[in-house]
Amino acid sequence: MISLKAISIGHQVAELFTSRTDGVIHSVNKNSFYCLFPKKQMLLVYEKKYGGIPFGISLNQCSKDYFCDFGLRKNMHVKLRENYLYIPEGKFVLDLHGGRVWVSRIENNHIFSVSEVMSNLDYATKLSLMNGSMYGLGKLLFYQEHLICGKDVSANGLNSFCRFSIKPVSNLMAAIERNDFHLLERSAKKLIGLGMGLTPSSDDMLIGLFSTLYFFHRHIKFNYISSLANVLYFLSIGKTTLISEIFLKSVCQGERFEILDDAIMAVLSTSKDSLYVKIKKVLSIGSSSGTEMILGILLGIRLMLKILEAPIYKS
Amino acid sequence: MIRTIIRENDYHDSVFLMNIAEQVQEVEGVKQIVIVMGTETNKTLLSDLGMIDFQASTATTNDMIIALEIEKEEVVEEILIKINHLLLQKPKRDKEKINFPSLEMALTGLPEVNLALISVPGDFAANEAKKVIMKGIHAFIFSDNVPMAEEVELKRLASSKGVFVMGPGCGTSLINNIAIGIMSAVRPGPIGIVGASGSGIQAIAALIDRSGLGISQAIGTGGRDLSDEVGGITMMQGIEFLEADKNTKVLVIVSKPPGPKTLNRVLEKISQCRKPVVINILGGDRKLLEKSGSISASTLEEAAIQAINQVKGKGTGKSVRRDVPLRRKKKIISLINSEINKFGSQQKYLRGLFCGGTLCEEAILILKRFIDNLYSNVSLPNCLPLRDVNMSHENCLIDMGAEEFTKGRPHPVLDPEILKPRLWKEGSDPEVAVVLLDFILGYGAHLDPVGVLIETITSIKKRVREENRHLSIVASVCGTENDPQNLYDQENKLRESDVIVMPSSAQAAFLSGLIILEKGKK
Repeated sequence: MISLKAISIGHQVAELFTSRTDGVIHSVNKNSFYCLFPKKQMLLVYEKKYGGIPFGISLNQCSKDYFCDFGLRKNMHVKLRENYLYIPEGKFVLDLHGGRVWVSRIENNHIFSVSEVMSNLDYATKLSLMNGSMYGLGKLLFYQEHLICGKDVSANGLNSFCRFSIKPVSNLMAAIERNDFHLLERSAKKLIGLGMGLTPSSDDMLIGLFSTLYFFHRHIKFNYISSLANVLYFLSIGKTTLISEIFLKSVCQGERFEILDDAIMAVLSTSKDSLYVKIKKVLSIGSSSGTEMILGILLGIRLMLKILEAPIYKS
Repeated sequence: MIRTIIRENDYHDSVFLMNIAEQVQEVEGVKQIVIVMGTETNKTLLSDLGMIDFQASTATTNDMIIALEIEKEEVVEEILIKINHLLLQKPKRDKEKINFPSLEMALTGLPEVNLALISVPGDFAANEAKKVIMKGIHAFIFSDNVPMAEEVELKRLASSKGVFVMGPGCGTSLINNIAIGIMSAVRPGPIGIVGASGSGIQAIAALIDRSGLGISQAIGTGGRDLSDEVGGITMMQGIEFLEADKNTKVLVIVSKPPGPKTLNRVLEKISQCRKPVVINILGGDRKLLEKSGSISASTLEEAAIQAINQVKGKGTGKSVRRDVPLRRKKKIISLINSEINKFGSQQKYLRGLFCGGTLCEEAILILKRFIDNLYSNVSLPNCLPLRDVNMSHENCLIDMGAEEFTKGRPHPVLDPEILKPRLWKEGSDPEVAVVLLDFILGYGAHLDPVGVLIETITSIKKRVREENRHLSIVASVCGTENDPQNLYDQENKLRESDVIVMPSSAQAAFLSGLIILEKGKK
């Protein structure tokens, strides 16, 4: 029997435990596994290095083994009872006693210097290009300014996913800047679900992007952000993988992911103290997901800086 | 022929799937393979690629589509077996790679380590370097923006501990025949290099390799080591080390112009060496340098040839020309005449786009002999600064690896994409006659730098022809046949696109200068 202890528990998990419903393992990865419950409710069990997640339980994985080495397999029965998660067939128990409920801790007052942020954006780009995965949309990191300003991007040397997403990403940026719902719909439809793997690359980029937009929304009220995010969520229903849909739903509802918040704050911080560590942490998510999330974050920050340059926000 | 396989409710991460795709691609008869989840967008992508059939169009978002373009039906079964086998494999662990959460744990876990590569933001690099130096480990500091005072402190500490600090801002070294940073695959041999110039070290080492000889050690010092503030601490250590090293027969020293006090210290150290020392200091005073007993070389190529001659016992030989050894003189003259006869009357200027900083500076020094008003973003005496680095003016050489171009973008040695728009712009200028380019190969560099630019080169040549003009593109490739990019493959690609390829950056600059000079006389 494998028994592990929870470290932090997302606030949505508490609701799941109250309902005492049973589910199944949806998928098992190196550092995480997903459990699926009725009504598309998802529970993610993962290594603590990824920080707090609203529908996740993080744990200190003392063993060097991956979750797939524990004998956990897809479709195994998952039971939630009191403060325990059981997977009888996998002889696996997760004890929630002592785990703290994770709550986002973004400070509301955040002052930053534009020149410092620009320098941090450049540094984060370099770091991501050097350490990130280029299998998905990673190479679009080279073209952030082009995408924000709608300039032409040479497709030479880009993979099919990048080539296919240049125009929609560029349009998406314009849609957000202009608060244009129709353009958002047209571009998002071409992006949602695009890419390989469990969470398609474009979805990961959208997760990073909308996390960032909401981050700014907390400080400067861009009321239309939540409306745009709502459109995005409704467009994603049934159009991408289940896991991606759940992540997109969370982000579009303004839920926070600690690891992404840390990275956004590090880029906006006037000190470079933690930028390196925070960006590298995000890059370690999944196999290429982290790189695409960083792409979304960097695009989001550049876009918000552009919007904030507009006279209406300058003061 | 398109075949698709649908695996219901199957998920894998993208790198795992990409590895499978790469292995299946190797099966004979497979033209293309794409593995994606069955989302609407991915199905549209497959449709755009012409790789969708009815079966794939019915896949749901939770199904995995494996789309194959194959030459013959017979290979399908073999591919299916291979895919099933690969999908059943567990994700591979990186057995060779050990990750440690902190430097302290790495030092404890790997007690045999004697060199650490430090690549963290400049503000933190000194602190990390200090930790390894205190343990008696050599530090290769890739990070730049390390404060000068910290560099001095680190180097003094390292010197007292008997270890090297290569850097900060060190991009090239070859230690015990292992390339660190960006460096060509050169054979081991009797010539040791110590230098404060990454592209300079690499260019000399690559030319030596081409002659059949090799390198014992190449020690990068970092660009500021020879400033008077640092005092050439690593350079002095390097000279001492190579002088004592049994495998080194000849020393080569390469640097940008050093501080005057440091230069005197270095020359004094050289005067104590028993082994022959070849010295290449860009723009250095030959007489002053040779007073130390060293053999002075005005270009990187000359430094390589002088070192080779020393190993072969040919002395400083007259075979080495004091300027640039342009062999096959007749052929070169006929080449120059043929080029200038094709230019239009308006064409008179030279534009150079460089990846290597030292190669750009060397070209400026060579071209100053032919061209009076030379503009550049590089700050050198007698070289005019550009008002806007993005706008070339008259005769102009640009170091595209300079900070103003690489902010937020990779260095052009890592990704030459940045050169494309500029190359197009320069080539399109009706007053430009010659475009001078350099390409840098080696570990860590882009895997096909010529391939990235070849389309632009071809297009620009075509456009110029349509406008009844002629554009000379002169290039040099710094690398060896054993580099991952293969020197000869890269050079041949350029030649096939009507580019004049010279064996060294100095010769390329020299030829370009002569073309402009002769055109001016015409």
